[in-house]
Amino acid sequence: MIAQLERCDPRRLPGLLENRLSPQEAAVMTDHIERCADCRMRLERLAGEAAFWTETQSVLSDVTCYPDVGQQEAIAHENLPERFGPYQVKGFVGHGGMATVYKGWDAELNRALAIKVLHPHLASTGTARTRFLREAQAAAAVVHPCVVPIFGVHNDQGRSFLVMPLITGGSLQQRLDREGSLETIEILRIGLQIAEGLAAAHAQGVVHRDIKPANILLEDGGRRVLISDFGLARTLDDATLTASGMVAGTPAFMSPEQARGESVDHRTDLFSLGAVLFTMATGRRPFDADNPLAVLRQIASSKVRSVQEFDERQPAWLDRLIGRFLAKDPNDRPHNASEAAELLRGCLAHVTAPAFHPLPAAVQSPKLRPKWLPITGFMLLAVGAGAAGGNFWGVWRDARMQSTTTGQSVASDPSQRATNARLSSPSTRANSPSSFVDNAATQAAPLQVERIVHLKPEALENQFPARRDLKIEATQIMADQLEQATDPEAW
Amino acid sequence: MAAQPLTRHSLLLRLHDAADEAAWGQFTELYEPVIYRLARARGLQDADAREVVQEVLMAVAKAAERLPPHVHGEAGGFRRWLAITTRNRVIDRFRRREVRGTGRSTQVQRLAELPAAAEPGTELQQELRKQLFSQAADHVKQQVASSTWQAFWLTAVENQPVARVAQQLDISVGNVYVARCRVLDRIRNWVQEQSRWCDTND
Repeated sequence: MIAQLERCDPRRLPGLLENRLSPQEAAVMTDHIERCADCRMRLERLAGEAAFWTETQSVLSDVTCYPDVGQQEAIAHENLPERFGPYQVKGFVGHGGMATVYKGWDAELNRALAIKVLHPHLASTGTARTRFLREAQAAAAVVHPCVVPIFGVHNDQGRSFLVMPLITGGSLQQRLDREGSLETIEILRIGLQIAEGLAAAHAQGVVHRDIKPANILLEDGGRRVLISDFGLARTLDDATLTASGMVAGTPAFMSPEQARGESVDHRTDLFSLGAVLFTMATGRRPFDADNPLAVLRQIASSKVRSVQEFDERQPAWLDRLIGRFLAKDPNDRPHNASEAAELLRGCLAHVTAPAFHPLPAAVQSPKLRPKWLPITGFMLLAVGAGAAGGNFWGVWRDARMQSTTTGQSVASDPSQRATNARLSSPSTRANSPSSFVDNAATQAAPLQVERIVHLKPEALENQFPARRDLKIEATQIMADQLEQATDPEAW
Repeated sequence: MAAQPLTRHSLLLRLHDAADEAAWGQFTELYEPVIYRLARARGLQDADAREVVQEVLMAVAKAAERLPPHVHGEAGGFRRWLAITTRNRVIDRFRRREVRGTGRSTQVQRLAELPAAAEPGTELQQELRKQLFSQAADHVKQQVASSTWQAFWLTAVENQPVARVAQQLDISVGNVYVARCRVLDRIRNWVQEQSRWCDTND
């Protein structure tokens, strides 16, 4: 009994409650709580007063929940309206923040349709209705395989609705909910199609303003991507702005300028596209917090976390790609959706065939970008050509030209200048094979080039014990090619 | 910490600050289910209750800038205003059904008699508190391990014996005690945080 009393340590209870103790400490305390009624009481009071415990119990045991989405759908199934305008209602598709979507039937053309009926409060004022019609008309002018076409806009007895093709593959949001983060190639493939759809819309002067996974529809087993709800966000803004001076909706995918309520242009969609890319890569939103205000704060000021923190399969350059889109300043994003599409296409090509398509310069690592890649690429080629006994002289001559063209960006680096000098001077041709070595080394340790150049394979191994590949490579080059390279007659 | 007044009029004041877009989202998240439940409690069907929710939210949005002074000044003033607005819309719904010939005249009468007894804001206040707790529960549930949540729910809400729950979840009795305190602590923090965020002027 006394031993137990000695272990009472109320000062540690807050730590235990907030999970700040080490696992060992927590285990000891938990053990103690199990037997010491006093400490148990203290911990309970610390968590909440007796009245709060009672209230929590009475309130939570009696929550008649607002029907969740599943229930809403079940209910909407039961209460189907018969028709909207000329279209018969055949079923229920979904219920969102702005509209309810029904499956409809066009008797004249004998085809199934989606009927998107705007919630009544969004089209309650004359201005909002007019705006809705105008925006929908503008959106209907956008014709592109990646944009959901609009067949018609109607206003029937105060209900405004859009008529669209019925797309059955679900939304990107549903896919992410189901599968979590996607593979890099899939992210790029979907992102590219969104960018292309946006480019078509922007060319017509239509800005989407509400690009988010729920507005990206998938068809054809997910291979085809369609953007829906062009222009509707504007209507939504209008309806709520005219009434209350604010914008409704979840701000998670808004651009900083949009979140601040400033005027926006097409580049707001590019930011939102970046947020969608992030969500595809990680399975979660880039800016997420308990309340919308905190989300807005994050959008305005926080840098997004690395996607690799959430999914280690993603390459590091994906952060740079997404970062370009999520730039706080619109001027730092791709200038327009076509440029964005170009960038995404480049990345997609790289992922599909890395050997043939280098990463687009805009997403290359800033360290590698200007200096090493072209030279290294060429050198590997040269080694291959030499080993195959090909026209080495020709390759070498090309190398000279290439090194002069790349030399400008390279000249500031002394070690590289040395390499260039060796390459371009016939009198040092005998040494040129060693430049293969330094280029092999540059891939791993660019600053060490000068030190490696004159080392023999054995010395290399001593110098860089961790990089046995250097030695092997150097040995092979020495053995296979040194003789040929030093004897012009043999070429 | 028990039922404190929740007028949320500071949130309401923020509704006409154009820069504060978040306020509206926060407002609807909290009030939508509350208005819905009030409407359902009066006997409306789901679809009608939903329409009432939309109508009342529209009324709030329109009125936010020019609500009568007592609504802002008086404690519980907005709550009462909202409760009355909701009630009127519900009655409107029933009347409209009558006009359309669905025939529920008795219901309108019953309705008119029904809530007069209670202070109009009280019921709404209870629903509001309920909503806040249920949001808190949803939020905390996502943050903690499933066994932690279960330990809390089964013992603190469903009142099951601690020893049995410990056995069922295959954790120690001490763990059950600690787990339920941790959950309650988080719920309390969340409710307080949300109340403060909305009610700084109360």
